[in-house]
Amino acid sequence: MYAVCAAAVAWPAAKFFGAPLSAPPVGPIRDRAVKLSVLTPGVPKLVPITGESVDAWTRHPAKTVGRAWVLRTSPAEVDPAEAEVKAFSSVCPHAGCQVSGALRSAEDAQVEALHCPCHGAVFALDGDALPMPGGGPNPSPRGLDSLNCELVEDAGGDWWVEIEYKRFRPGVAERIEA
Amino acid sequence: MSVDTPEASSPIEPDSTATANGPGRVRTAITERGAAVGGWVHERTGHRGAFEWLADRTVPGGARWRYVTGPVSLGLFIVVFVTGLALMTGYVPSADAAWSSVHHIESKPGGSLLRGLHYWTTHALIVVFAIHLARLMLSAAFRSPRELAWVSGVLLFPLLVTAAVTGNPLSGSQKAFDQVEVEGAVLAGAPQVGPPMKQMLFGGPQAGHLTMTHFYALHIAFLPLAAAGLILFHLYQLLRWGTVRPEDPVAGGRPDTVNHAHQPGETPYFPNQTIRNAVAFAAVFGLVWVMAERHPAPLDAPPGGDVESMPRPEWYFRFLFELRTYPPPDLDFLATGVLPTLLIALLAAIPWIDRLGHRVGAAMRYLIVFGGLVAWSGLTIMSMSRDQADEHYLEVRRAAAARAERASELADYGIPPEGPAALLAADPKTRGPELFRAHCAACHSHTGPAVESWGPEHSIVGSECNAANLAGFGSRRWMRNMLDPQQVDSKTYFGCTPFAEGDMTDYVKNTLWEGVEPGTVDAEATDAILNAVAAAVAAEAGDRVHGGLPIALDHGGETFASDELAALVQQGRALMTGADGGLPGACTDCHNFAGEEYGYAVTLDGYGSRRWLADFISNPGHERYYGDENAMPAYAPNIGEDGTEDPSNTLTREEILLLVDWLRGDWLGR
Repeated sequence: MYAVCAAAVAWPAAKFFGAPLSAPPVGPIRDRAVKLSVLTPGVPKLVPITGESVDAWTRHPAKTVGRAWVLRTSPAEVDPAEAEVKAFSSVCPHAGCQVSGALRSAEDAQVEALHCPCHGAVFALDGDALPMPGGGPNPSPRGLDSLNCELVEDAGGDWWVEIEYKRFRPGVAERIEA
Repeated sequence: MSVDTPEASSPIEPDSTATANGPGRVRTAITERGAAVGGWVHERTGHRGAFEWLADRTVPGGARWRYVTGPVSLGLFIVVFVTGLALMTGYVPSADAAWSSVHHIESKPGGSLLRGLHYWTTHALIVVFAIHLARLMLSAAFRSPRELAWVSGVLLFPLLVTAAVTGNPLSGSQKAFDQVEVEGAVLAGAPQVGPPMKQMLFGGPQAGHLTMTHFYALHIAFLPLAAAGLILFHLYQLLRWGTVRPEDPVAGGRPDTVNHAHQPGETPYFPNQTIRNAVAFAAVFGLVWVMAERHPAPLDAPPGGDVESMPRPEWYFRFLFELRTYPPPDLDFLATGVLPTLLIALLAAIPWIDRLGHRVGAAMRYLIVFGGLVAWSGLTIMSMSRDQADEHYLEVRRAAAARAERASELADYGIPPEGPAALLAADPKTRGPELFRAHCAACHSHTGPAVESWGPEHSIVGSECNAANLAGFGSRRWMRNMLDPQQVDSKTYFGCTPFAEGDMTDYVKNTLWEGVEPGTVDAEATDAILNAVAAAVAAEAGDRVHGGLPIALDHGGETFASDELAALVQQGRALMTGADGGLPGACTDCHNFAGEEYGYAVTLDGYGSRRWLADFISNPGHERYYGDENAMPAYAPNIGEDGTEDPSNTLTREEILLLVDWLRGDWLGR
């Protein structure tokens, strides 16, 4: 009889504690993250991704949910509608740190690679994992995760990079959406 | 079983798991290994003797149903403790987040049942433990050598009740803060030490974050730990001195019935009494479970809002609330502080008072239990029946219940970062009627079939009829009825205003319907034309911002199918502008509609839209609206520097938009 009573308490407690397991999945967040005009061709820029975010009971209408490296690959002369832009999640595929560093060349101080401060992973500007500068294997099992992005024009005639932000599972060679 | 034999501790042979007739052998091997492990543990803990004390215990005079009160109390305490632990995984003790986290608990699977169990078990525990104490008192179980068992029980009672009381404010609701303020005032009423104690408990001059963390720490740690300590002592005393012999309650000063072993003719405690305990506990727990399942613990509206509150203590403290009404206010502390302390002290001193004599003791025992019960229930019933007869109190409670329900409904959409107080403050359904009553109902009404389905609090009759009834304003029905010669100068429209003699009334009564006999083909044709005009004007009201159908499809108590609307609106617009000559005189002869300039009558561009209404209420005398003919006050005519809010306005833009959204039936959850 005591066991039945104990189960009648444990059952709702387990359901409550396990509720996060049945939370609806969070879809990708689309954000007009940065104006095309502020991007210098060939120079990657780390931009925050802002979107609606639900934290248990609080609904944040506009919160920074992540960051992305954005690179304008086409020259400045190209018409904005035709311009080419790449975006990568700034989450390191190794252990999930923020790939926040940029390595510059000794000669012309141009950004050559992106660098993760945790375990030193380095990535080319096209996202590929590079051999480590001091030799040895790159700790990252795969290159930076590219994000879908497109150029959109707002009502005022400004062109924006709209990024579809997603999260991927770190630590594995394949790209698996988290 | 011997655990040290080589057979028992030998490893299982690897092939034993693979053979076809293996399961039996495996089971044997596992049992043996289990015994070996158990033996190893027993060597170190002695756990196999852990229940010997129970096996040896006896119930002098036999098992009794009435002996279950103690074990059931202990079981309920454990349920409260365990459900409390589970609730801790979802609760945040801060003035900002407490309500939100409790609502979150209530809305998650299992959460409402957990909180309900915690809540109802607390009530059950207070009742059962009070019965336990009364039973011990009547059976004179406090006599030597059990005085300290009694004293620990007596002290447990206020401790449990205080633990319960410190839990009530944790919901962070308006009611919770109201109760905390009263409890703080009671504490501050103690001479000298009161005010600084209250300041410390509250963490400041008024209830806030620290009040929540303080009550939380008391509720989940300090008071339960103290209670657990007293319970352990109480149980230790019970095991040391055993159960009182029922036929010998007048044991005087001698130690009696000290049982650690079976004595001839005495019933073993296990299983005779333990079965009764288990059945009684399961019955009480089952009742509590059903209550929790059917009636979740209450969660009042979050704090904020200019609403009257009439806080009342929980039922077990109602008698103190009632007592407080008798002494003069400056002697409040006698009722709320001195009296409860004296009562507890009196109860604790019973074992010694009892020694004054046999008759004195017996009289006192019955007087305290039954006199106390009569006094407590008398005061409680007096207080509660007074409230039940107080229409104002009931109204305040109903309003609070409605706010609680609405806040919970809104919170399901997600609580804004500003916190739960913003839920109702930014809700047109809640604020609209308040603002309308305060600023509009002197002249306007908002009542009738158009808003019947909204609920009674949305039906407001103006104190004077100086202006239109705005129920369903901008809807197709509202527009169509305005173009009815019987209604245009009724109270619903221009009847109470100078416009009763105005051009619009004249147009509807004398031009629009001139020569049209009711019931004829002409009347039907006119009706169809005016329905198109009404649809075109209602279409100007546009979409709702909080979701739901556009005004032209669902407002004023009517819902239309969307497929015919576009054609109807197109026809109506052509009629209004005179492109279709179906109307005797186009609307645009006087009104601006899809034109460049304002006409001399109100503009119909965006009529009934959020923007149109908000600007109208801000400044109805603007040339877009009534211009020189305006008789309504302007609620926000001034624009501050750089377009900011001008404090000299009667209403802020936010308030006006709340009013507008409400008039448009535009709120979350419709």
